[in-house]
Amino acid sequence: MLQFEMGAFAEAKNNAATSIEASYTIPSEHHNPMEISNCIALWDGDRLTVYDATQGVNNYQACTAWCFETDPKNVRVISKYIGGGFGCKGSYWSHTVLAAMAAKMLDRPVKINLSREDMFTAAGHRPRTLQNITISGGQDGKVTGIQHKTNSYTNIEQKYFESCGNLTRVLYDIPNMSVSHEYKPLNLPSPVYMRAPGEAPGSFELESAMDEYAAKIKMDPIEFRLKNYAEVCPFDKKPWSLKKLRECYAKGAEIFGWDQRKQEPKTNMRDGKLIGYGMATSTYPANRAGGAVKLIMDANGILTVQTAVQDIGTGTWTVMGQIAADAMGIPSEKVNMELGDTDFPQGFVSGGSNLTATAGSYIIIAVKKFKEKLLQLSVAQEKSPHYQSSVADLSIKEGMVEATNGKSEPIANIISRSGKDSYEFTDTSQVGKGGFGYKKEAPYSSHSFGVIFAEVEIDPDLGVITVPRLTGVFDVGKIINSKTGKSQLYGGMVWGYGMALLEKTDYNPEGRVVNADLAEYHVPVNADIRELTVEYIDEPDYNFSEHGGRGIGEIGIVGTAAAIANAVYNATGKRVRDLPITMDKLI
Amino acid sequence: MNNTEENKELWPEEKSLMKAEISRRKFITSATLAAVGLALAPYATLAAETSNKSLNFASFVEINTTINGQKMKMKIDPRTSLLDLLREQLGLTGSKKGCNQGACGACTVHMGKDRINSCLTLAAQIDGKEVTTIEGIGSETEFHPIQVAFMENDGYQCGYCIPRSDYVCH
Repeated sequence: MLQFEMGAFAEAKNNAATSIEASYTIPSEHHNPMEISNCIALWDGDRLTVYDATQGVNNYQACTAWCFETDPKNVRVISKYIGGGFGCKGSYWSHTVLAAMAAKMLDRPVKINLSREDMFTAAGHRPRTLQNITISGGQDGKVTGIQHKTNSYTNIEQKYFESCGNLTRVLYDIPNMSVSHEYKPLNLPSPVYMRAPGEAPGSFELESAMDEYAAKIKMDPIEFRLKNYAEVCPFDKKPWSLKKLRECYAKGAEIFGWDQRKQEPKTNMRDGKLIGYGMATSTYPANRAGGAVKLIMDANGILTVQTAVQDIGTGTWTVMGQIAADAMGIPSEKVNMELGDTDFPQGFVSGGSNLTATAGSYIIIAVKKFKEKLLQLSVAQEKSPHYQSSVADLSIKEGMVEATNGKSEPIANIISRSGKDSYEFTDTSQVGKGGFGYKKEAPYSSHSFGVIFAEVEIDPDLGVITVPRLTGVFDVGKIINSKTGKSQLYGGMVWGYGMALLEKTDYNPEGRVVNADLAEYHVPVNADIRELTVEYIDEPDYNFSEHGGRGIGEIGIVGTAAAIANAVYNATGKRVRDLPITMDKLI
Repeated sequence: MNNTEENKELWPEEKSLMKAEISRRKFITSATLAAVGLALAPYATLAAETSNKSLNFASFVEINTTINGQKMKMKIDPRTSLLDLLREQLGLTGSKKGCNQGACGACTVHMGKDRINSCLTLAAQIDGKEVTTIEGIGSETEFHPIQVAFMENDGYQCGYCIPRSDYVCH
């Protein structure tokens, strides 16, 4: 678990002109994907096939093989479409192995469907956290010391840790840092990764505390963040692979109309309602791993791309197809993606916002090699218009192989001339060792950044809160697909709204969930969400990935709850440090 | 009423089996040897071994209904929910079981002109009624304007709530 010390915090605090200290609590939360976890298991002799809903087909394959003490080659996991996961379908739960066991004993296929109630015990959750933070520094806004303590729980058997202090090491240039985590093993179902684990709850505390400090010294919150801007990664001193956070602050402030904010709380009224503006910095690590892909081009020029990754609603089907088409130089209608099956070359889990960087990169690397091979084939074919040309003079555009001398032909001709039905190539990309291997080996520190702005409207008598506007501006490298990309960022911000105002899992003293259904565990619905605006800087980070993009699935939730809480403070003068911010806390 | 040779009406299991036209063992073999992922029809798992002889059909009820324009006549267990009938017996898996409690709407279908939660509706209630499921909106060659609107504005991510979203706007 994360314990991090840098410099000498205690001394820095003693020497500081001012400081703030506060404790924040966030309740347990549950993922509640629309699709409840389920699976079908069936055996054929020693070979097991599992149809499941998983964020990692290879992970489930490995875990199932381990349970049955068999080679992973004897286990096939198929998961073509997943109805949301958010982390709960990344880990391996009991229903998969139980279905396989029952199928073996009964010698027939077995299906297990969990109930919505089961999702509150049998598929993980975000654990309740109690965080304590001290920020100390000068009256001029320069922070010299930060202490971030997290207290939470884990399960007796599993060792999952909600690392709230992760982002504290990354966000600001603070010379003296003390980040610590403490966990009690409890007899509760195991907590697990849930959208932006660590960063989501940690950002609520850090960005609320930063807002408290700024309020204390009467400085504008954005100006305060800029005063402590980190030009290099604070904890490992590596240069950023790319960081455009200043641009995010500036663009966001302009779009949102931050200059309309009143610095003094409780001074902004509109139609009898208290109005508040709040902001928070957002960040998420850029993660990347390796994987393998098989490329097959047929005599019709259709490129089939096979890799064992999965689409959990993030748009993997669309985006990987796009990336392959772009890299190959063919129209995207000519790409046939095949995912979600462990019979395909090894992929990677959809987690940590890594997949577009991971699979997108290894697909591009493979396609480049594949193109080279095809073109070499072409220049060796007697009947080819490019016979005996130099490969360097050839390029592929819109499915046509074009030479600098003007000769061109459809790429499919290379295959049909070869006398074979198709041409295949399999490639594996290794990136560092273990997990998200890329970051450990790279000379850069890669993180995405952003800024969230919130406007809240509060009834002064009843405490009813609405959020008329939420704006997010993000530096997430190059956006591969603007439509699906924005949707991911909108989705993250909607989650942040839920975290700030609605979501809470209630336990009775025996540890049983008492609101284990969608009527009493409140997720945001259409009626809750007003104006959502997402913009991005869209500058490619080629130091990080082949296409310049970083992950976007999780950054949207980071900072959103703090932005809303800070807006609530600006509207009412009340600092709510305990989520969710419900009406009773404001009247 | 007994299931005798004279009874020509199809049980849901029989209907499924006739559609699938395969035995259990053949099903497992073909499922694991398939080169591409099967769109696994859940009803196909009701294999030949689910012998009608072991079930008591005395309490089954007969319903006459039209689903997505197709006239149907079935004998069903009266405890079956409409959602389970659609998904488990008829292979219409577009309607989803998001909560089975009427809180999420992912099971929304039309009964007549009304929007209903099929998880809270007994299958027996559709007797004499017309039902449209999400599969009945638009076609493979011509999308419904609602579907076009959702696609153009990227209204979906995983798509699991499509029955609710499409129907709410319908």
